[in-house]
Amino acid sequence: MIRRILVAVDGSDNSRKAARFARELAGALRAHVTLLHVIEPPTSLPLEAYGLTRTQVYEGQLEAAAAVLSALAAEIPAGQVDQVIESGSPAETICAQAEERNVDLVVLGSRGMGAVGRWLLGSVSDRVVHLSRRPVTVVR
Amino acid sequence: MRHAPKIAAALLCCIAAGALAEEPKPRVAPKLPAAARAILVERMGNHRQDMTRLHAAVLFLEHDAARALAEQIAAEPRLARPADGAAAELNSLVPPRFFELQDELKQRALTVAAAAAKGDDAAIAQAYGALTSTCVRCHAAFLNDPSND
Repeated sequence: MIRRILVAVDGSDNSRKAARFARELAGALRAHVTLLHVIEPPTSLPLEAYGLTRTQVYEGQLEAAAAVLSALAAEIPAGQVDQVIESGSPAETICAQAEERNVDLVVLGSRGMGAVGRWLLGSVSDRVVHLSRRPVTVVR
Repeated sequence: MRHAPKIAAALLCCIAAGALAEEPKPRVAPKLPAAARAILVERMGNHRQDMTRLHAAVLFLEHDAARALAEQIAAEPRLARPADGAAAELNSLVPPRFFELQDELKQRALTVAAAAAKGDDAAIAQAYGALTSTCVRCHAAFLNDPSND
């Protein structure tokens, strides 16, 4: 039985669909939803060239993540949802959170790149379905 | 005899109430793991409601409602095609044909929406027929598959 659902969101259309999918499933099953946003630290950007510090960028990312999560959480009954922001490599962090929270299902949005795009660039959802020890479903 | 209409109305109410109370849950393949079954049952339950409402809107030529409902059906979250060799991915347990029919459903729902937007009743009828044929073919393939029993 699905009691705990972890849904990873990043503000993209497909991640919003993933959140909706999780919300509807949780509503039917009376399951608890954890909305997770993983912030990827900017490691390769020349921030100094733009007059930015890493702290400023991180704070901006944090603010954006909180806004995305709050909007999605507002559509789920208050006692049935929590919001989590983590920092790190997205796929690894999603899988670690799934283990830590002992979830029954991980829901993700696909990036919709198609087979060639996925082969060239890889995708978070592909990595998660290969790394996760929890059941995963990917929506688009 | 003068009570006949009242009796008929009461009977109709009872039948309607019974139909609502005993509406069967959508069936899916029992071979699937519990998590996958729970997902499909929930998705099909939502789909049933949307299609029932769309049916009424099409039937009574409520173009705006038909367009909105068809667009809603087209925008439903869909299961993504599975990645190769990912054992944890529930989507990999769903037969490939399902994904083809799922995409066809979206396209045909958009065709209904376009016809409704134009107010073209003949096109709506044709597009809605095509849409329901996708539903029927999907159900014929998976809902009543003898291997599921």
